[in-house]
Amino acid sequence: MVIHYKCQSCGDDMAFDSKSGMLTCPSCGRRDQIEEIPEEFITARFTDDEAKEYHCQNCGAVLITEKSTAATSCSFCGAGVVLADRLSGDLAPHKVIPFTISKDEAAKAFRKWCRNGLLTPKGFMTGDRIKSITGMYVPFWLYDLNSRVQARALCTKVRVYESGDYIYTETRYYDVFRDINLDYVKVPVDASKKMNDELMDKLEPYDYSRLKEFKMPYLAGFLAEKYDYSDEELAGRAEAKVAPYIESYLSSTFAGYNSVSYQMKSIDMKKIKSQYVLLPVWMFSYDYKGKQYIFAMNGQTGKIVGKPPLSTKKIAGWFAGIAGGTFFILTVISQLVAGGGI
Amino acid sequence: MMKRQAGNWIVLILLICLFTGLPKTVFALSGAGPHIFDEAGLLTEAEKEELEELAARLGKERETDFLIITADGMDGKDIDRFTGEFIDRRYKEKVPIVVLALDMETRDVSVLAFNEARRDFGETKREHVLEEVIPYLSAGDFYGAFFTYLQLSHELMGIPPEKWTVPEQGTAPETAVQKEPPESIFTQWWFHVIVSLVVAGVTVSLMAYNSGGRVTVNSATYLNANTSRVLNRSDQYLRKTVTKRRKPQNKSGGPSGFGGGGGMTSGGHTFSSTRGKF
Repeated sequence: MVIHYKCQSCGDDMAFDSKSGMLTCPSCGRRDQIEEIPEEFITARFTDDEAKEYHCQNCGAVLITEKSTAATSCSFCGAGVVLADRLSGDLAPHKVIPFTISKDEAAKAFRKWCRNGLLTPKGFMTGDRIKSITGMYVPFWLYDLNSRVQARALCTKVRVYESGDYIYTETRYYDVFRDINLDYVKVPVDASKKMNDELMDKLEPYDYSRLKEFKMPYLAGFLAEKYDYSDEELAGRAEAKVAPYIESYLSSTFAGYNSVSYQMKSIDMKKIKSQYVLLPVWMFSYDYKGKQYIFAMNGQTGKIVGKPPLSTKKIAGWFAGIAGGTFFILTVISQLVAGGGI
Repeated sequence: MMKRQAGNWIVLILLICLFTGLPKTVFALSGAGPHIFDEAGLLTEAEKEELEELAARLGKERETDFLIITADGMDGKDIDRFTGEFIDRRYKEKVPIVVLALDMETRDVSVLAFNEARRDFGETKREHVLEEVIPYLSAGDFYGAFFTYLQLSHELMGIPPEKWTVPEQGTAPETAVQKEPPESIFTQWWFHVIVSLVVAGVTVSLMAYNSGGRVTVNSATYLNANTSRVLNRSDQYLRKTVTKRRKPQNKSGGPSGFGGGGGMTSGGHTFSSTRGKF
């Protein structure tokens, strides 16, 4: 089932506008509140047969989609379409964070970011070879994890004091026990096979206060993916993300001790719930010297990630500059100290 | 015949004069009498014999008497005075003598240089010996301390004062300060080069690493602070241990933290001393 939002005033294709947060018609400027548009398909179940071939509701052309595509534009007429059956039933997202950065803003911010790279080659900075900018809703699982941590450790407090001609080192030993409840909420893990995990992790954090109930019109005009991995499959990644946080929390409860040696440590982690959400990402494809570079921007906060090419010349320049500067400062300091000593 | 005999006599007398005259000091010092006077009984017989042999041999090479004097209380006398009187009793000749004196009661240790040894065994040399010897003494390893003292003194006596860059006793402190900076690696240019290269390397690596965007979430980002807390804690005190060690000699406030002294004994021996505690 393909859903296509047609303007009720002029009949043009409507798309989501990141500025107003409404479904907007680019021709006549009509705006519709997304909350008011009926969502009859969200709970519907579709048979497999129906999902085999999609036809654009606007022009009738066959939509070229991948298996995981949930929203796209018609390659023929350009109308934004949503593939409802890939967003319904089990595949229905709970929440969505709509784009707050428009395509133009994203392009502008990205060009600025390119120019600010301290180690990026000059040609890359000024080249302005953005091949494509794609607004994409990436499927994420948000996990709420509860951890019960119990630890017992032998700790020491060391005090050094002087008395007479002697220096005394006093070591006090303690048997320390901690029982901690830790809740980590909405830990995001990207559920799309296509997306680079490292890139997606760096895009965090998203502002969850802007999480909205999922409505299909949010996707109009953007690409969207459905999840490739279930929440069960990705629970391990969420736990791995949280594990270092738990360790640091635990060790923070041992503040004040000079040494801690654990004798017992048990971390019992449980998944309380998981939510399927779509998070906005601008994807940039950039050509430089025959190679394609992929960058991603958090569609809500504007944070940009991705490895730009590095300029050997600039690296050498910085290295020489910093080394020379440090050497100069050290020399001056040592001269001053030696001079001030006499 | 008579003339020839007389000639022989003259040669003989000249030879005797030559032999007794020139190396007079040698015969007067080393080999003559013991060098180890262990009144406090810190050494075993075997150790004493070994050290005695060593002191005799090393002393001979340097034409200096290296003595070790220990006592368990010095009749209320100052360690330098006690040692001076001791030297007066044993030596009539003003020969070079170096002494390591220990008082087990006050835990004083003093290195003294008598007569000509004052010049060859200046304050900084004596301080150097004390610095090396005191750790052994503090640890109760007296044999090790004496052995080190003999070896080191022998070595230092072999360095002429003009080649031993450190100035002699009585010099103003600033000369001693001047020798310090070149020893510190923080003022060495090669150290600066290494530090600069390391700083630059780390900075550039960090820049390159962070060029792809940094991770800006931390342990607090996803923590629900309302429900996350320590439910139960206990800190049970078990026991305590105390260890003690001697304060290191304070090196600030002058060329060294060691005390010094000098003068002339009632028997006419001039001496200089450097002392510390162990």
